[in-house]
Parts: sequence; structure tokens; C-alpha cells
Amino acid sequence: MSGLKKLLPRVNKICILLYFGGIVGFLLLSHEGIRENCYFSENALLPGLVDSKFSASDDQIHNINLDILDPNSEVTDELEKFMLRGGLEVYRQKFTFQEKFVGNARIQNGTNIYGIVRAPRSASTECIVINIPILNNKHNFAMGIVLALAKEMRKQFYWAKDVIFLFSEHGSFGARAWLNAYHGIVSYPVSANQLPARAGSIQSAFTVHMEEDAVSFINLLVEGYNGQLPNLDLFNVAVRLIKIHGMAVSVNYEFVPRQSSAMDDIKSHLGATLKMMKKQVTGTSSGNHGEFIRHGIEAITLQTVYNPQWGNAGFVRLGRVIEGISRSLNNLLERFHQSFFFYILPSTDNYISIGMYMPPLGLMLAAAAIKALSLILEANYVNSEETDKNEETKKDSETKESVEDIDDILKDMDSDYANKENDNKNSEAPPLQQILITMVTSHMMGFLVFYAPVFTETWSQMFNCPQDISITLLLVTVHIAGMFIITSYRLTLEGGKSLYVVSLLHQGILFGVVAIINFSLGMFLAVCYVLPTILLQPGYMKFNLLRKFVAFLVSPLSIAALICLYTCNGNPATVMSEFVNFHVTVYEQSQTQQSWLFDFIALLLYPLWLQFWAITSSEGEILT
Amino acid sequence: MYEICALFVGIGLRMWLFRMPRVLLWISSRPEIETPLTSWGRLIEGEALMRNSQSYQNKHSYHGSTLLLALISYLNLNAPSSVEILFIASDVISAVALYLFAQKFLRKELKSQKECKEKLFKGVSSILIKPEHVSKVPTIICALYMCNPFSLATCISKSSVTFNNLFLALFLLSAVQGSIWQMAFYVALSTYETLYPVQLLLATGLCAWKYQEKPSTLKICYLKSLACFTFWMALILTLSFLCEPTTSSLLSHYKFILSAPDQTPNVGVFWYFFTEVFDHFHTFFICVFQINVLIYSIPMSIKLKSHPVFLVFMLIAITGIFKSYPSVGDASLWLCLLPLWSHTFSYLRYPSVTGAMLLTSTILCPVMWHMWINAHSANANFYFAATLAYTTALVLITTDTAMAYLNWHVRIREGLKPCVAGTSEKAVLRLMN
Repeated sequence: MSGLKKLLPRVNKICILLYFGGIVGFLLLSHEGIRENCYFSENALLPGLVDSKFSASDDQIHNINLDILDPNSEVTDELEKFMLRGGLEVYRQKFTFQEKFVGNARIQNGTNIYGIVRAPRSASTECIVINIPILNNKHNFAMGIVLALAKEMRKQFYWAKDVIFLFSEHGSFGARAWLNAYHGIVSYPVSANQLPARAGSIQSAFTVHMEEDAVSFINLLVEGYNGQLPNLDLFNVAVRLIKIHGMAVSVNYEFVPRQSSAMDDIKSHLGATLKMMKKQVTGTSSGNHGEFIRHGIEAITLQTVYNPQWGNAGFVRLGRVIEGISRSLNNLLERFHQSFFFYILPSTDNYISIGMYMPPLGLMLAAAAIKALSLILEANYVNSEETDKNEETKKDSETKESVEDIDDILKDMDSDYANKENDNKNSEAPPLQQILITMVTSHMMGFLVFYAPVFTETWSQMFNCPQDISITLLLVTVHIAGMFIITSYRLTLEGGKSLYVVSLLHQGILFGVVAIINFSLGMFLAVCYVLPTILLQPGYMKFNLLRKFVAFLVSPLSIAALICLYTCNGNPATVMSEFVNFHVTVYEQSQTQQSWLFDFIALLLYPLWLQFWAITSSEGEILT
Repeated sequence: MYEICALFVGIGLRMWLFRMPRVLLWISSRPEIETPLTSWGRLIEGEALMRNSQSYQNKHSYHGSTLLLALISYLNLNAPSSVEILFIASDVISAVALYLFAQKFLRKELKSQKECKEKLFKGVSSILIKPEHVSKVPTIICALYMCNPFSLATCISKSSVTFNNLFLALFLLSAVQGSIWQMAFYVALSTYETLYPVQLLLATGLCAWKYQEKPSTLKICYLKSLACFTFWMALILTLSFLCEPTTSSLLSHYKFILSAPDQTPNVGVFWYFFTEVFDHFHTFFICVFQINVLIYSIPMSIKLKSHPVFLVFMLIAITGIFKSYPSVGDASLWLCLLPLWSHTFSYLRYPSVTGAMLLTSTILCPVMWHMWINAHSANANFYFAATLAYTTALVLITTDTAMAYLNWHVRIREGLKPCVAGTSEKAVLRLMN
């Protein structure tokens, strides 16, 4: 115990050390010795072990693309015609959706068209989906490839799973409409018609996205909604097959760096890791595959990139890649379950597993927990010392004390307690009550922020401004109003300290839980919040202004502003519009894509921050 | 005054939550709240099967008691809206019962403290029960029971744990009044519902012995309570038999509790173990796990002979943690009763750690469930880890409370800082003394 006592005055240093230890640990994750090489966990996949049967030539595919591009008819009609000619079962699905919630909110229509190649070797119990998004203003050249592939597949006898070619409109809305109808569920804001035909349960899926009629390399997109990721084996299959067919492959446009010095190696891998995490923080998906992952279907997006300096690999190779992935998935005996679901990717060949990336975060959160525990211990020591002192002074007059004391106490037993309660009200409220009041108030403010966007239209009419500005104005106003409301209830020093301990623990638990769901978001929050909050301990008044400044710096509002400053590269003219855009985007993504970021900030992060804000304006000791 | 406010706030919260279909749907599908034994969904299904098939044997989905089913189906048929009122009312009655119980109990404790003040050590007045305990603690307990999220969730999910808690709360109230008839009645009701409270019979005798107006020997108290219990139990079982005239239906309820065949995940320790263990050892481990629930009652009733209310508290806690289908509703009752021992709280060893652990594991349970069932990325181990942490936190809280309670009793007799006889060394209390 005495050892612990000695450590107490140094706890701030220990916490700061832990915090930076966590950051260093995180930066070291992409080191050669810590990241691991990807490997196949699922043996059934057998990637690339079969000969490619894809026989269409580049010209043929080009011609198909030209046919579909026919300006006199709809793309969907052409697709239907072509698939019917190839002998597939072809169906259509109509759906409606609402893309915008701020500004011109209107219902839009869309059509999905899909063809099924029934497996000759089994009943329709399982299937694979190849999703080709129909791009709104551009042509997806992958259509030609998969149509050629579909035509050949129809004649091949080795398919054990049905293959569905899904041409979906309007980005993720089309995919969601189709998947919802496939699984018989409804999710706002998409409403879809029933599907005329189904295949078996969807085992796996992939999306091909080709905006130009040539390809230099393939970029893989893995991030799903709210931090979800596909099984690492699916990613491995895609990487392996792309390499086998002689194409370059990247993840987030980062390639495996060439052998170089250890420092450069770490730097380039770290860059790729951070790029991936940056995408994950937002809680949105980088492609249509996110919709599949949401339904528990492992999926990935292949995005082709063309760079004239790199040359053209041609349609056929991409076709063989698609065929190869499909045949690997065709080999699956059970759903993907073997490999990792929790990972981050420093390159296409390496991964960092949950066992490696959690400890650095743990260190950072431990800093906050240790700070809280040290305050509890400190309070205990002070209490026990005080009672010791009291006893020593009392020692002389101890005789007969106990008996009298008890009598005094017991006299009050039948007296009226109402008077006593009134007395208590005049004196300070106990810390527990202060904590409860502040926490309940801050969470109510969170609810206000959450429901604030409902009044967007009213505000835009009241202030005569566009809706996107009015929603930003609303959120900022409620945010600032919350700051004043929470400080209007003044905490005592004792109350402030107790709330500080509770808030630190609250923060640790919240960020830890968020990190399990979405590691990138948890890590980002820990980096932003842990250090400032460790330094916010209520105490001397002298530093109060500084503390307030630090606390304000990490408010959700300031963080949003800082992100906007960063994204517009310091160009002051665009900062305002960027700021408005940021709020609108976060809100709309929560509405249209069911990303939890807005809900999380409004209902959990903002109240937590308000608690820290309340602590900075608690009464302090005056430095003498 | 405050307690009435708390009652109204609690009623308001429940009525408000009953009007929120999305929250209701989410809560009723939580495995932490709903168990195969207590879930409302199964009750409704059981009722529908009973009504449509006219055969009382159809109990594959419903495993609760016959009388409850009869009551609910009667209400559902005649006045469906009264079901919600029934659940809210049962919580309100529990809260009031707990309030009255706490008040009476603490008054008696204070009185007995006064009566034996000669035995107290000098200078311990700072840790004694004070009148403000009597005035504040019952209010806090009432407010906690009405407003804590565990009992709120249990009530609005219409889990039958609500009724079990009601019986136990009423049992506590009658225990402190020392009326054997009432005590035995509530133990019988509760036993009929969930079987495990049968071990409260050990405490019934002790309570009667301690709190009865006319003093009698312990043996007579035990015999009386056993006789009363047998009478009530026979009556209830007869009623149940009249409702559904087959013996198999009666037995299947208890068989379901004892052999725990449904391994739907819940917050307990049974499901994971029995999905993993070989069938070969199934019977053996079922016995071990069931003995684990019941065995503590014997040593504890010996140790806590003169503290029957604390014994009841501990038995409710242990049953709530280790029973075959526990839910958070079982924990809500005894967690709400914790303030009863607030005078011993200064002897808790790590309240902040256990508190944080309980909070974390409670939050982790739905998160791990989401990762396992919705996101498909985690597996059963993740969820089990969270529920194991929850169980551990509850076990730590009970042992810590017991430790603090015993410690406090030693301290008031031997002084705040008891020394080992003959030396100046401080004595350290261990759990076993």
C-alpha cells in the first residue's frame, strides 16, 4: 500500500506516459515484426487451382459494351435482352428511395435487373452474387465482361452454387433494395417491390466497378458500414487471383512497398493503415459491398483504376479474375468463418489482427482508468488520515463517550425529520446528487441534439436560409446552448471531483465498447480525448481558463471545425461551406445509410463531453 | 415525499416506455432480459396453443407455471390492456413493500442496537446505524426499484420475473413482521413459480424466531414454517392441478428448471457450459451446477443465524446469480436492496472496481450480442465472456457485501481498529471468520 501511496503524486506522469506509450505502440503496429502475412485459413477455397475457361476476347467484350451503350434504349432493357439471349433467367425489381433529407427531399425511382445462372450440380440452396452497379452518369464497363462470362457459365457443368448477376441502380440504394426484398425485410428510406425469383442463401458476393474501358490495376474496397469488415479470406482470394492473372492490386490505392529501409517500410505501411482507418471512422461503406456485409454476407468491391502511364491490362484479365473468384467461392463448403473478421490492412499482403491492435488502445484507456482510480485512492487516504487525526484528538475524552453518543443519536429517532431535510437543502448537495443532476442534464441535451434536425424546415423558413445552413445552425445552437445550461448548475469542488472520476470511467467504457464495434472510431476518439481529459482535473482556479480552453478544443463542434480546416487545406474561403457540408453529410449518412456516427455523437459523445465541460467550471481551490 | 415522487416517476417511465414500440421490440428480444422460463413471447404462445388446441399438454414452447398462464390468458381474453397495468402495479406494490420493509427493518435494527449498547465497543459511534439511515434508506430503495434500468426493462418486457420479485418483496415485508403464515405463503408462491426460493424456508424459521412477537424456540419456528409452507404449497399445487388436470404439466415445469434443456444464451453460467460439455457428463454437471445454487444456504444459515434478513438477502442474490435461467430482473431486486447495508459500506474493499465491472459487462452484453448475431463477426465466446464478467461482478458484489457486513459486526464489538491479542499488530479480517 505504501508503494501505491508513493506513486500517487506521480500519477499524471504515469498516465501521460501510458497515453504516449499507446500512440507509439499503435504507430509500431505496421512494423514488419508485428504485422502478419496474410494466409488462407479456409482450405476449401483453392484459389487459382483451376484453368481459366474464359474465352471471350477483348473485342467481343468491347462490342457488348457498345451494344449496351446504345443511346436509343435504356441500359436495363439492353441488359435484359442480352441476358435472355444468353439463356439466363432474368427478372426486374422496381424500388423507390429518398436520397436527400436536407434540401430537396424527394422520392426517386430505380430499377434493379438480375439474371440467375442455375447451378447444374445442385438444388438452388446456395448462391453467389456478382453485383455490377449501373452508374448514373457513367458507364460501368464491367457489364460487358460479366455478360460474356454469364453466357459461358450457362454452358459449364461444374457450378455447384447458383450465380446471380445483379445490375443495381443508384449506388447502395439499389443493392439495399434488392437485398431487403431477398431477405424479406424493410428498411427506411428504401422501399422495394417483391422479387419475382430467388436463388438459395447468399454465401458471398463481390462488386465490380469499372468506370473506364481500360484497366491498369485493381483497387480493393473493404470497409463496410459502422466498422464492419468482410472476412479476411475473401480479401485474400481477391488479392491472390488478381496477382495470378498478372495485374497489380492495391488497397486504398496503396501497393506493397518495394524493399527499402525499415523506416520507409513502416512509413508506407502506416500510411495505408491510416487511410483505411480514416474511411472506417465515418461509419459508411466505401462501396456496394457494405450492404451485403450488413446482411452477414461476406463481400468486397473490385474497383478498376486506369492510368495511361501504367498501360492497359485489358478486359480479358479482369474477366479471368472475376471467373476465378467465382470459382473459388463455388468451392466453399460452408460460409466464411475461419479467418479474421477484426483486422486492419497495412498492405494487400499483411494484416494486423485484433490481438495486436487492441493493446495500444488498452494502454490509452488504461491511462484514464488509472487516473480515476488514483483519485479514488487519494480520497480514501485523505479520509483515513482525517479519521486517524480525529481519533487522536478524541482519545483523552474517550471515557463513557460511546454510551452518551449513542443516546444522543437515538434521541432523534422519533423526532420529525422534515426539519433536518430542510437544513440539508441549504447546505451543499452531496456529490452523488450533483453527479446525477449533471449526467441527466447532459444526456437530455444529447437527446435535444439528436432530435434537433427535425426542426430544420421550420428554421430555414424562420431565418430565410437554405436548409443545409439551417441544420448546421440548429446543431451548433443546441451544442452551445447545452454548454450554458450545464454550467448554470454550479458544481462544488467535491462534486466536480466526483463527477470527474465518474466521467473518466464513463469515457473509458464508452471508447472501449466503441472500439469493439469500430476500432478506428474508438482509436480516433481515444487519441483526441484521453490526454485532454487527464489534464482536466478540477483544482486550482488559476488554471481554470486554460482548462476551459483545452476542454473546448475537444468539443464535438471544435473537432468538426478542425477536420474542416484540415480538409480544405487552410483555404479560408471554403471553410464555412465545408463546415456546413460536414454537418449535412454526417446527418444524411445517418438517415440514408444507417451509419451510427450521428447518433453516437449526439446521444453518447456529446453528453460525455458536456460532463467534462461542467467539470471545468466547477468551483476550484484558490491558490494561496 | 420523495418516495411518492419516485413512484410516480417510475410509473410514468414505464407507461412512456410501453408506448415506444421500437424500444419494446428491442428489449423483448434481449437474451439478458428474456429467458425461456420467463419470456412474455413464450407465455403468449403457450396461451395461444392452449386456446386453440384445447390440449393442456402442448407445452413445448411455454415452460412457466400453469396458474400464471391461466391468469394471463384470462386477462388477455377479457381485458388486454389490463396486462400492462398488472405489470406496472406489481412493480409498484414491490417498491412499496420494499419501502415498508426497509423502514421496519432498520427501525428494529436501531432498536436492537440501542438495547445492547453495553456490548458495543467504545468509540464506535461513527459507524453505528443512525436515525438518518432509517429516514433515507427506504426512500432510496424505493426510488432505485422504481427507476433502475434493470427493473424497468424487466417490467416493460413483461417478463414473469416481475411477479417473482413481487413475491420476494412481500416475503421480506412479512419476514420483518415475523408472521409465519404470510412468509410461508410468499415462499410457496415463489417456489411454485421458480423453485429455487424453496431454500428461503431456512430463513423463514430464523425470521420467525427473531421477529415474532411471542417468543418461541427455534425448533418450533422451523416446524411451524414447514407446516405452513406444506399447506400453502399443497393448496397452490391443487389449484394448479384443477386448472390443468395432468401431473405431467406440473412436473415438466420443474423438470425444465432443474435439467435446463434450453440452452438459449442468457446471462447465467449454464448455457455455454452445457453446449460445450459432452452429453456423457451432462447429468453429472447438471447436478453439480444445481447443487451450487442450493448448497450455500446451509452454511450461511448457520453463520447468519442471528441475521436472518441478511441471510434472505444473500440467498436471493445467490439464487439470482446461479439459477439455471437468470435474467437481469433477478439481480435488480437484490441490487436495489444494497443501500440497506449502507452503514457497512465503509468496509467494502473495492466498490469502485465491482461497480465499474458491473456497468461495463452490462453494456458489453448487447454489444457482443450485436457482434455475434447481427454483424456475424464475433462468436459465442465473445458473448459468454461478457456474461461471465457480469456474473463475476455480481459474485464479487455479494461477497464484498457479506464481508463488509461481518466486518462491521466485529468492529462494533471489538473497536474500530481491533488488535491481535497481546500485540499492537492490527488484526486483518478474512472472509472465513
